[in-house]
Amino acid sequence: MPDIKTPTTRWTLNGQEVENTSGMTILEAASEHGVEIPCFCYHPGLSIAGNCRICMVESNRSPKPVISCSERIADGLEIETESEVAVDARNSVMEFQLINHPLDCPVCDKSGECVLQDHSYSHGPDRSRFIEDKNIRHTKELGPTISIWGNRCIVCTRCTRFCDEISGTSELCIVERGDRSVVDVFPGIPIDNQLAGNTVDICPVGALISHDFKFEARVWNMERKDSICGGCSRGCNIEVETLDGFVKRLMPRENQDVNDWWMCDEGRYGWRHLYSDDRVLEARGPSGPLDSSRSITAFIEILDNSPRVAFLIDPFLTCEELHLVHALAASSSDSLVGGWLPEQGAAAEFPAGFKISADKHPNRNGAEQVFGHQVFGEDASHLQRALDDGSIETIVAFCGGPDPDGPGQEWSAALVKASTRILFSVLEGNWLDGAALVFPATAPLEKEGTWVSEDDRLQRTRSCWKPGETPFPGELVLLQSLQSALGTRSRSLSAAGIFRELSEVCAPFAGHNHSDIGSSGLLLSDRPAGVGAGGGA
Amino acid sequence: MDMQLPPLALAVIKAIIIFAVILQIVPALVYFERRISAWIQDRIGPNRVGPAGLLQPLADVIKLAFKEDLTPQGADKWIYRLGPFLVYAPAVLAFAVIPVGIDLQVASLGVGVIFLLTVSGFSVYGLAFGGWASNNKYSLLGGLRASAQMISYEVALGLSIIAILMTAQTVDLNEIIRQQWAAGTLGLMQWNLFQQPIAAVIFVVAAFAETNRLPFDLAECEAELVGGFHTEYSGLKFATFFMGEYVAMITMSGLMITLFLGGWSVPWIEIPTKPTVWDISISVAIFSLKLVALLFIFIWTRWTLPRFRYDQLMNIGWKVFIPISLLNLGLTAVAGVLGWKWLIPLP
Amino acid sequence: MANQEDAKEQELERTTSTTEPRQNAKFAVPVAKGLINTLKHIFRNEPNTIHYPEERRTPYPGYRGEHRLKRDELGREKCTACFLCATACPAFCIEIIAEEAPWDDREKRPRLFNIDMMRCIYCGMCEEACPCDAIELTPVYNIPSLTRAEKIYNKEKLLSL
Repeated sequence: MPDIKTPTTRWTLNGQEVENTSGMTILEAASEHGVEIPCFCYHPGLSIAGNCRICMVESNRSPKPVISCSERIADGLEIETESEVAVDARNSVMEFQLINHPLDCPVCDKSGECVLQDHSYSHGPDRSRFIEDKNIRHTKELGPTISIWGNRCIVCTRCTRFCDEISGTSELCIVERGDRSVVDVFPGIPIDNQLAGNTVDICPVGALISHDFKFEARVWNMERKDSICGGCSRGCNIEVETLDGFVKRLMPRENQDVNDWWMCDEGRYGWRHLYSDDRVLEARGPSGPLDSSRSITAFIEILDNSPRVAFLIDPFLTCEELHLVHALAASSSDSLVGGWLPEQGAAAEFPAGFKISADKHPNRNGAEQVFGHQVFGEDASHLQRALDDGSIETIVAFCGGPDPDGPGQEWSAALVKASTRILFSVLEGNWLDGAALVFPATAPLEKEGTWVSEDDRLQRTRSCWKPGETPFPGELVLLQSLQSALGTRSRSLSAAGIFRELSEVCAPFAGHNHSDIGSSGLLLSDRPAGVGAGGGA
Repeated sequence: MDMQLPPLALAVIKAIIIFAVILQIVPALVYFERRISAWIQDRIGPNRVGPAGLLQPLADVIKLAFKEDLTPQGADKWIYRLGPFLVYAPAVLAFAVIPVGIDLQVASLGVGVIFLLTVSGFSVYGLAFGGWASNNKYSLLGGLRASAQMISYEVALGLSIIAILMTAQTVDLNEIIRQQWAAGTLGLMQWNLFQQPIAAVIFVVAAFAETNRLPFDLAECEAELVGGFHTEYSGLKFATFFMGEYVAMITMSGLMITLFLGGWSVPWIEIPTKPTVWDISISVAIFSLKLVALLFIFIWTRWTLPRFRYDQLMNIGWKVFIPISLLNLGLTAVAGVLGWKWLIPLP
Repeated sequence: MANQEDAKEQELERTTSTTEPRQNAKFAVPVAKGLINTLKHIFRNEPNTIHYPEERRTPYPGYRGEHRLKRDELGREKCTACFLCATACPAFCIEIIAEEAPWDDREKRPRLFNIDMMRCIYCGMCEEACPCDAIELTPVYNIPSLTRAEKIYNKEKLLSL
């Protein structure tokens, strides 16, 4: 079969002849050749507005500079990005943008990641020629999570386009005209959609400010770590920003196969329970706190004295942790494993294809790969029946979710029937009462390992902070210590090492390892990816 | 002296008095060292404790006495404790034979100088023991340097003294002093300082080295060895080392006065054959004045000159001073055979 | 071969040994000069030092001592909690937590502003970085204290200086 060649266009960029796929804009094509053209209103996920004018370049086909974000390449086109005309045009636009922009970078939360700041540094004038009074525009709350600082707005319309195109809710609009125009909402209709937080991310200046992050930290002080959102089974790629080891905010990370550039507010703001006063932070027995070695001894004592041990897993555990539970269950004969699922939430799909799953847990698929497809179905009901008969005395249950009720009313009631309960929990709750041993569990953002999303996409989640003044050993470490004490493990491994073990015994993971998962994940099956992609223009 | 006390009691009393006096000189010396160093460095010096800072040495002593007395882990405890005393005791003991007034000394030994040399040579054990027993590399190096340095310079010191002894034909220190006396201002020339100038210079330098004073304090050498042999010492053990150094300074000054500066005599005052208490007091005063002058030179030098490098120290010791002192010895011998004293003939 | 090595050794000895007899004789002159110099100082003693707690030196203008936070004409702290001082600080001794300001003309102010004076190296970079001219280094240099806790200056302390 002959290759179907994508049509290409030959054009000249800064005096060099280059080739690109036909139909690209100058800005995109130039960036493929490493030439960055500044822009404010252009966003790869949004339609092209062409209203900021900073991306102007000199063209041989036009007497005046053209805007590179909307002009497309053509054969014979000659573009100069650094010629006198282009630079002059850019600098003039920059001067205009800064006329009414207040110099409040020191108190602006965007400062440090502000596009206007960056371009002002590289293209802007070092002083203002504007001697009149600056325009004052409104500063107000646009919705429960977002405020506008109108003075800072450069009217790029990224946020209004986002609400029109991505979330499809169209709450935001530009009001007034000329230099008085500013972003606003319609009276009585605040911006309150599930993706509203993204407007803050895409705002190139500090006009839209998230209440959650307001005055929390300066962005340049924070450390960033790539991770996966544990809020639902979509597995949105995120970047966790921490200050002195404390999570300050979550930001979406681009992954065209999963979440494009976006994430939902539920995931974005859904990490506050990590800092709840009700966290379980140390292992304890009936008589009080236990240090890690004594807690392991107690655990083993219970296992040794139990004829039949059951395990209740949760879909927050990583594949590695599940593998360890699996190995532990396999080492004792006649053990039962079941899984519980949190209550379903509301699913949502947005015009641009962004989805929120109803399954509010990150790793159901992974658990099913490790334990077989019945683990949340038939196995679980089997386990529940066994608990009801009273044929199970010892049960080990996990809860890594944000619910203080643990595995829910039904399961909590069933668990009580087992006389000896070893419970792993993130938060304190009634279901922990009367447990033989309680261990602190790690929540999403604290786990190191892999999750499998509902699209069968294997992705790495990373531990972004360690809770407690003296960090407790997470499930990954604790279960390994348990195995060492039982004599089934010779040395403790990192998550990557455990994954290697998993890939040797579990067919769906065969041949993979942590390093080839990469930043955008890995499809486990040939099932076509449930679409997140395709948003934007 | 026509005292009716039995000789033993007399010796004990003299010993106690001189011991007590030396012990009192040390704090005074510390004070003057601080004060003179301040003057040299354009500072003010001690001025907080007592009038003009006079009680500063007392404060130092109180501080040292109440400091924690540490023994490092792995130290050889007994030798560690012995160290300071082996430095202090020989220095005090050596002073016993130095005549501080007309025929006034704790022990009028016939072997005078030889006893002094023998006993003061012991102090090297103190330094070496202290350095070795501390179980510390700096201390050990300090102790090693101390022993090498003292052995080297003891040779030069001894040779320069022998030159004196050869001309004096005696080892009795009082006799040596009497020989240095001559009437009139020109009688100063009778001092061995002028009769044996080479020996005098070598003696002074070797005395600095023997007492571990700058510019020869390589055993301590703060810049390289933290504190050298006494790095690990604190409290009263350190104080003992410290006092040992000062007493050794006094002893060496006393010996210098006796051998080269006419001892307790001055040319303008005739030595009475039957000294009264008055005469003895005057002679003690003369001795004290000379002592103060020499101690000043010790301090003055310390705050002027930087420390020698170890190789320089050894080079000077072995390649310069020992050959020169041997040469001097030879010349003295020749002069003795020819029947005239070195340089200035007897009047 | 052996001769060559000997020659090398001798060369090494010659170049590294600095105490040949001739030089020994020479250095007696500087030693004497030094002794005379120090003797002069003993007799012409003009101390360059002062009796410190009683007499105090007046620092030169621009001296960098203890910090203070300035107030504006309404008596409010000038600081807007922009963290630029903390960012500029090479010793990481400034700790700030921001809060919303209760005033109309200002959005942000520090809720907590601590300077760890034990860590501070008094370089003045904070003063340099401050866009509001809110922090400054005073000429106060005698700032001992008996506890470590006293050396962590909080906002109230810094404003009262």
